Amino acid sequence: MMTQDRDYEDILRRALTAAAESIEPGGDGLQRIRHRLDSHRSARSVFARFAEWLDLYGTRLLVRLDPLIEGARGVLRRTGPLPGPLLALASFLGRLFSPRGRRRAGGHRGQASPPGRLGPAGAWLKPVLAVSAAVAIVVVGVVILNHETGTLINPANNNIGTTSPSSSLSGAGTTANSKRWKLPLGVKTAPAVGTGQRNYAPAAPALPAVACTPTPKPAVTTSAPSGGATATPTPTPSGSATGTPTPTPSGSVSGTPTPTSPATSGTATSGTAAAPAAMVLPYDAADPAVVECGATPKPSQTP
Amino acid sequence: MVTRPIDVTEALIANPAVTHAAVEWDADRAVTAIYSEHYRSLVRLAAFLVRDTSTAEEVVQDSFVAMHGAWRRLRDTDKALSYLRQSVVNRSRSVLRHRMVVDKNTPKPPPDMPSAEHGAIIQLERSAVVSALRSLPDRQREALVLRYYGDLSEAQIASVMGISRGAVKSHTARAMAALRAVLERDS
Repeated sequence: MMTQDRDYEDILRRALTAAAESIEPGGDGLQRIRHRLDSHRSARSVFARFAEWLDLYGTRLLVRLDPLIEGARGVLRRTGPLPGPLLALASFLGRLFSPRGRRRAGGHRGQASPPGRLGPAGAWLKPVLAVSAAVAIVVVGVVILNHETGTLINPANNNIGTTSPSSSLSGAGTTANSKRWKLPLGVKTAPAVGTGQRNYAPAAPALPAVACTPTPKPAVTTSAPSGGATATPTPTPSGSATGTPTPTPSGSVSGTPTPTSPATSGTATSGTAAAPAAMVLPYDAADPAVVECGATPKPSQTP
Repeated sequence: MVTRPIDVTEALIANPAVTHAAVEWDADRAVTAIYSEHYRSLVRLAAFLVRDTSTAEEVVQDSFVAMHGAWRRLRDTDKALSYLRQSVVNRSRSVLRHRMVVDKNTPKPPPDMPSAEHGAIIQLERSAVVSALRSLPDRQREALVLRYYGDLSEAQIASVMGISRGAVKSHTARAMAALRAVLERDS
């Protein structure tokens, strides 16, 4: 039996080998393989080029959106988690459009889903709701961003992140001023006097000696102790603004802004009625010159 | 066996930042090397399975293209040859399956008119053994061809066919019994 099996195996082997010898493949097999490889490569290169393009433009978009993202992060950091209504709206939309909810309702792939909670109108109501919710979220987000960051999304303004809360949240005092006040970096605003609220003093932040103790005497006289009269206001506090056409709230900032200076005290407290709408900051952004009460700023360098 | 330069493989393993062009170049070389040594035998193997030489060539060329695409994973000529055999067997099965569906749906030619496939098969049916082999089921025919034409071991056949060694033994034994019965009956 074993020998007979081996005989059959030998017969089969020889027959297969003989039959295989008669099969001769074409000689252009390698060329055909290469041709197919080239067609595959060209198809792959198209995809690769598209992927590269997508990558490049995605990176560019991300770079452009980076300030926005940073601003949004800052806003979220400041405001904490999402406000309650937004959170409720998001959870409601998630429940409304979640596939689990559809599965629970008995919907099966390939079958029409049942009407559900919204009834037969849900077929067109859901997309409408989704679009309107998305639009509402975007609008709310843009409004919040605009409100909080001020000039963040305005590419023409390069003072990104340096706006003070007083510029946008100022009260009635700023209504007199048509211009927005932008504090240079380093200028400290004075704390509120006699109030427990945050100080959104309209015009006071521009002047360094606001924190000084107010005195009832308003000062209208001007003096130029060290620098004398100058045509234009200088960045140093010693410069007098008497001769300038640009109005100052209280006439001048004295050369030595001591706490008892009547000129500054009048400015800080009352903001005289003669204060014009437009004010010119006597400080340079590059040299903030923080002046606090009791401190003696350097006199003007002008001889 | 084709000896492949080790430095490229080592570079592939050691340096993950090796360029795509280097891999392509390596795969091209592997395709050329394996083609010159094994293309003919693979086409013959496929011809036994699909019973058609031109289809067998298509199947083997497709397998080479697939091997080129999978070269980054294979990185070895032995593995590549095993991959090619497995790919040839799988694609031959697909061809047979497709052919079965097509034969079901196309009108049968009259009995006196030979089909197009018949002309290609006639080369293989030079002996009674091959014609008896043709009457076997697909799996049994695969097992016999891989065993007695490809000279593969049971483990290799099991790997190529995607079945266990016991199943290979079973298929081979049944195929041999059926073949013997056919040959004894014809003789």
